[in-house]
Amino acid sequence: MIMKEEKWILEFKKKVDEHQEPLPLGGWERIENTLSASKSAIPLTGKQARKRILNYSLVAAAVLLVVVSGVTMWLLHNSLIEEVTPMIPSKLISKPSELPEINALGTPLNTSHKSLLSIAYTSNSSDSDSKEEPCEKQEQPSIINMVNKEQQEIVPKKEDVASIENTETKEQNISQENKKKKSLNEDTILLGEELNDKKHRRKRISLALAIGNVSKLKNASEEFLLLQDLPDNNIDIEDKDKEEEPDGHLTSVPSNIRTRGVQKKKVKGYEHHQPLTLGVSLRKNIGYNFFVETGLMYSYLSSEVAYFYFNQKAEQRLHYLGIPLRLSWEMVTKKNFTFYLSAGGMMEKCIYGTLDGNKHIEKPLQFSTTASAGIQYNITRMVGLYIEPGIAYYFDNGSDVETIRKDTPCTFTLQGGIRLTY
Amino acid sequence: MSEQELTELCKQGNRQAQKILYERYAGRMLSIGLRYVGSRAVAEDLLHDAYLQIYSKLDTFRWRGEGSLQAWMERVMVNIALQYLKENSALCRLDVVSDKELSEYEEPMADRINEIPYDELMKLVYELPIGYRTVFNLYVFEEKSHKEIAELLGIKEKSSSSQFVRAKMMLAKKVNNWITEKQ
Repeated sequence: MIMKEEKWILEFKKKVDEHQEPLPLGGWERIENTLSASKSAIPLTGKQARKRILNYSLVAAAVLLVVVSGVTMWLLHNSLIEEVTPMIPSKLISKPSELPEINALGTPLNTSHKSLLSIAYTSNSSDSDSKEEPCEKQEQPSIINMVNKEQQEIVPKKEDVASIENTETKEQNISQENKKKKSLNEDTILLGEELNDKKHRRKRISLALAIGNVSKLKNASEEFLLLQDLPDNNIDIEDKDKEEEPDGHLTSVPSNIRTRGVQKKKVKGYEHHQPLTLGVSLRKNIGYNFFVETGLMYSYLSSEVAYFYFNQKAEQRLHYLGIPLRLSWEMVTKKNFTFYLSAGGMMEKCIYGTLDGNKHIEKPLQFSTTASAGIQYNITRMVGLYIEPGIAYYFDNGSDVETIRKDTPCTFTLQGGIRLTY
Repeated sequence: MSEQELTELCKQGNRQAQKILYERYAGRMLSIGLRYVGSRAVAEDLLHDAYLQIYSKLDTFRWRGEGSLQAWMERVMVNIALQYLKENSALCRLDVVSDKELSEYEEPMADRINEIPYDELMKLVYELPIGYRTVFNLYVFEEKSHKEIAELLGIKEKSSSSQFVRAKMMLAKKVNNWITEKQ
């Protein structure tokens, strides 16, 4: 061993061992930069690795929860539309004048105890029969049941026409919560009461639809009616409304609903155009085939707004800037192709907007969540072309500005572009 | 800050502690790298790599008393330097020096070594054939046995010992020459 060596060797060792070279210029900065750039790429061991895997699992679970919740809400939302709305446009629009006859005939209004859903089913099933040729006899039960249902909830066992007035009186005394729960039914009563004139039934339906659209509940049927039926029922509805009110047909409508209807009925509907989204995104490898992606996205939303006044139309243009944050996981990499899954969200802010040339900005932030699967062709290690189909859900931000995102919060998306990875 | 505290903070990824670790030991580690590769530019690159490896593998290091961290870091530096030499096939070149060159070996006076400046001394080391120099470094400075050196370099133990003897003889001759020239 070295201890047995000659003295001069030991002296040599001592002299060299004590020496320290001057530090290289910028040596630490170089190391620090490398550490910052590839911190996550440093192989982890023991607790660090386990902790990171746990963190990834939590993030993945959170994203999954958001996605599942969003899809569930969307499905529930759509199922309500399918269950409730078909009876309203098909029956009340085409057969609005049956109610007076029914009452006049003295049909016991409390004979049917069917639920609203069962009514919907009945109404729906007979709808196909009445498409080509209106069949009043088939329609009557549906309307009777709907009105009866409403009256059962408010004032049981009212059998004559005059009872409607009593119902209205009691209606005003019910709690606000009950009003909310039964807003759909209230609208139905409104329709039934208004539709005593065949000549003007469509116009009245339009008014009712406008009321439904601004209901606080804004349930599925109201949205459906506004967007689907109004275009066919837009004949000088304003004038008709003015004629109707003095007749007292609307007096049965709860005052809050009427007021809201008058305020909002000017807008007939929206025709949303395909959104345009452009942006720049960057993603960073955080190890274990996971990538964090962010960037800056610009979105342009345009819609055509139709008014009742002389069929006037206006253009709504909204400009958004958004910051996405997504987590991607590369499943397979073969040659230059990479297959991956991605999930995350985006926060957007309307930076500018116009409605018919006037400033019109959506103030609240718009949050959304996305899930997608993609394929990327890697041109180089850092640059790739990708195409990415997916699904996005836009959360309701409480804004009154109608956009395609409020119309269809859950949409399929298809993105493509160039991606930089570092 | 003690070595143990420094170790713990660096394990936690504390950037300031990492910087202190660098400033405290980088000079010593760079001189080690220089002894093996002989080129400052290459040695600086190896130093960079060594620190990255140290930061990433510090989790596996167990502190066993004052000086253990420095010793561990120096081992990392030596391993990286050896790896560099292997990858560049430097160690595959057999250094053959005729016995005639080494026949006139004379042991230098120990006290004369101190007269030689460090840079001059290291220049003499760099002039050794790379195989000799590597074995000399490992045996004298890393205090490895010939068995360990043989395992590290993938050579026979006898080959290690003979290369060391030759390196020692050659260096002694160079030292003596240098002293003679300066007199």
